[in-house]
Amino acid sequence: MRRILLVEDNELNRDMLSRRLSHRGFQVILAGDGRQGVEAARREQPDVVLMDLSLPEMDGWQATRLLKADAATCTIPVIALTAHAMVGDLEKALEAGCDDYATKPVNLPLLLGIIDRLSAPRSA
Amino acid sequence: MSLFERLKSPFSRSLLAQGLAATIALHTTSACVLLGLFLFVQGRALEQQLELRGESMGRFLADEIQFALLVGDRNGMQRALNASSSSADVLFLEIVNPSGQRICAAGRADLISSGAIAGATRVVRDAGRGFIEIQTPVWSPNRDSLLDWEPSAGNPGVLGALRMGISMDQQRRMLRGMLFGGAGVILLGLAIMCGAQYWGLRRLLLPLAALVDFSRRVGSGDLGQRAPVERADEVGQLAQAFNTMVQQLGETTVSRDYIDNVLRSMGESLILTARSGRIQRVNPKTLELLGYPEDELLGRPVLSLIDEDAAPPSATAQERTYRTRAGQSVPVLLSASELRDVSGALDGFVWLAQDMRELKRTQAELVAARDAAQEANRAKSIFLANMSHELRTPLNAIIGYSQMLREDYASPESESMRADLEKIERSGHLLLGLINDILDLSKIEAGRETVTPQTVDVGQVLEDVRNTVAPLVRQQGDVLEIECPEDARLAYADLSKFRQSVLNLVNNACKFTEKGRISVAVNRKSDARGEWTEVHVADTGIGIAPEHLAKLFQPFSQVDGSSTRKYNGTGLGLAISRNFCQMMGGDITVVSEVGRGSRFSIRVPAAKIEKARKDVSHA
Repeated sequence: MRRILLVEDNELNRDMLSRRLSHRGFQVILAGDGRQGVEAARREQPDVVLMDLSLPEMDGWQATRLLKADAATCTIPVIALTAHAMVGDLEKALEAGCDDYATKPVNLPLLLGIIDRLSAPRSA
Repeated sequence: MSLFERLKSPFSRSLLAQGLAATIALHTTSACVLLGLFLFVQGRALEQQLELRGESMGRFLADEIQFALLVGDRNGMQRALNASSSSADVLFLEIVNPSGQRICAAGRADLISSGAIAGATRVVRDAGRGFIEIQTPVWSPNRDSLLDWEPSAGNPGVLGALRMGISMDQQRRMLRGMLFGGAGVILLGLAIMCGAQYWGLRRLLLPLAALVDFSRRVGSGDLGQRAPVERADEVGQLAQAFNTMVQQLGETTVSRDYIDNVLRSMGESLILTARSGRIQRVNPKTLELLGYPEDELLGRPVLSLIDEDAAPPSATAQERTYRTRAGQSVPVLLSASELRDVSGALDGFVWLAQDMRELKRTQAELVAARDAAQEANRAKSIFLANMSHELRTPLNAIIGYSQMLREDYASPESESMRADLEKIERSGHLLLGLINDILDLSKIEAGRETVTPQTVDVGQVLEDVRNTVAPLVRQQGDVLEIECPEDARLAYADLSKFRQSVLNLVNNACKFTEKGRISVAVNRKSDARGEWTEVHVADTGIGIAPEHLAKLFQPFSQVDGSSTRKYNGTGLGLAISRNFCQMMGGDITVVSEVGRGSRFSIRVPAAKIEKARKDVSHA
């Protein structure tokens, strides 16, 4: 079973997305801010990280940079979850090391396609 | 002033007086010389005449008394003397013996001089006593002529002498008469000449005096006058020349007045200096600006009006500072040009300054207003960004949960609930689109939207778009054809904005076309401004009426209110897309016919082929 770390501060979105992903057969680990997200990633070693960008404590860009700088987590694909592209948000996310992005509200089939593509080598 | 000068001054002022004085002096001198010469010659002639007469009278009388003297007849001699002395101008007569002693006399014996007698006739002129004395010797008769004669003792030849005084009175009277007559003639001639001279000079000088008077009036500024031209001679020509001069003077004076008016009316300060930089002339605005009275400015170095250590101003207007009399600084837009005369020689400088205080105030106000507006705009943008985030978060939940529920309740019994969930989801998407559009538009209007052009694979973008609109195409029963030739694939554009614009056009085409055909075609085109990539989106939909075409690209302008409800959408998409394309240097245009369909064309710069290949190969 593939494990997904969902870093999202909004409780409703976190709950909704985690339930939809669970229904599709993923084990979802939850984190409410960037710091928790980084800790959870180190601890749980998920197959994919879904990273919201505007987070309390530590924002998604900073958290991604930390993950990508740490040898223990740098191979985990990070998918940025962005609102309708704010100027520069997307570019900043890719710069910080995100492997791909999906806009919110999430189009689930599209997101699953990205997850499949990014996590395939690892599961193989 | 000395007496001479006082006398001289009226002469020096009047040609008439000078002329008359010269005439009198010349005439009088020459006439007097001539008269004197005449009288002198005449006097000599009269004198000689008198002498000749005296001599001949003496000889005659001497002959007459010869015998009486020879024989010693005193009575006979007295008789002869008395007879002759009756002549008016004979003053006296005397007969003397050879030793000079008187024998007898007649007339005024007191005048007679004594002395030895001479052997010849002697004339003595005595102008002091007014007569001529003539002494004539009386000779004894020739011996041969006498019959019996014994010579007497003493001078063998001379018997005695006759002395005679002839008055010069008559001659003097004649000379005096001539003098008076001559003087009279001179005076008469002088009067006539003066008269003629006066008339002639007056005739010459009166028009000149009139011209003098005339030019005085012209000098005092009366340029409406004209000198009378009554004659054709030099004086008339002079008057004519004068009139021409005054007329031309009038013309230049009018232009001088004009320049004065211009200077007076100017809103700028104008300072004219000499070559030395000393102020020669200023206009009233300068006095007002600097607070100086005119006489304090004239002659002053113009550089003293600006800061000492500042460079002298140049011909190009610059912002400088004038110091007023009160020591205040006035910001001015100042230019200093060289003033050159007709021959091009440097004659001075022209300083032109515009008071910038009001401008500065306005500028400061404008800056403040701009800052306030920018602040407000920044606040608006921040508000909108925050607001859209806050609005989107619950929307995400609404859309996400309805999707989740639809996924969860897949059984046929839940069909009606799934339909309702879909309505919630669709409304959520609509609201989200609206929020996103408003955010885009507000960013464009705030000028915060930037473009980052890159080489874009148009074919790839069109494939993305095809995937995105596929559900809508299916739903509308349309056919979507995309044709992208290889040589037109690469554009130079902002990827996300280009994709959003193309998507918007294709999405619109699908939305307004039912069971029709949407064809997307790409081509490359070049014109004077450069190389372009064009994407044409044509549909067979409802079309747009001409009166609506103009408003099509304005925000919130879906052609009528009802269409918004029927076709969904905010009416912002085209406005945003066109703004995006214009930001990339391109544009969106449209041709349409009601009932036949529309054709929208996007044009963005094409990628340079070489550069594009390189970019793509790196990607």
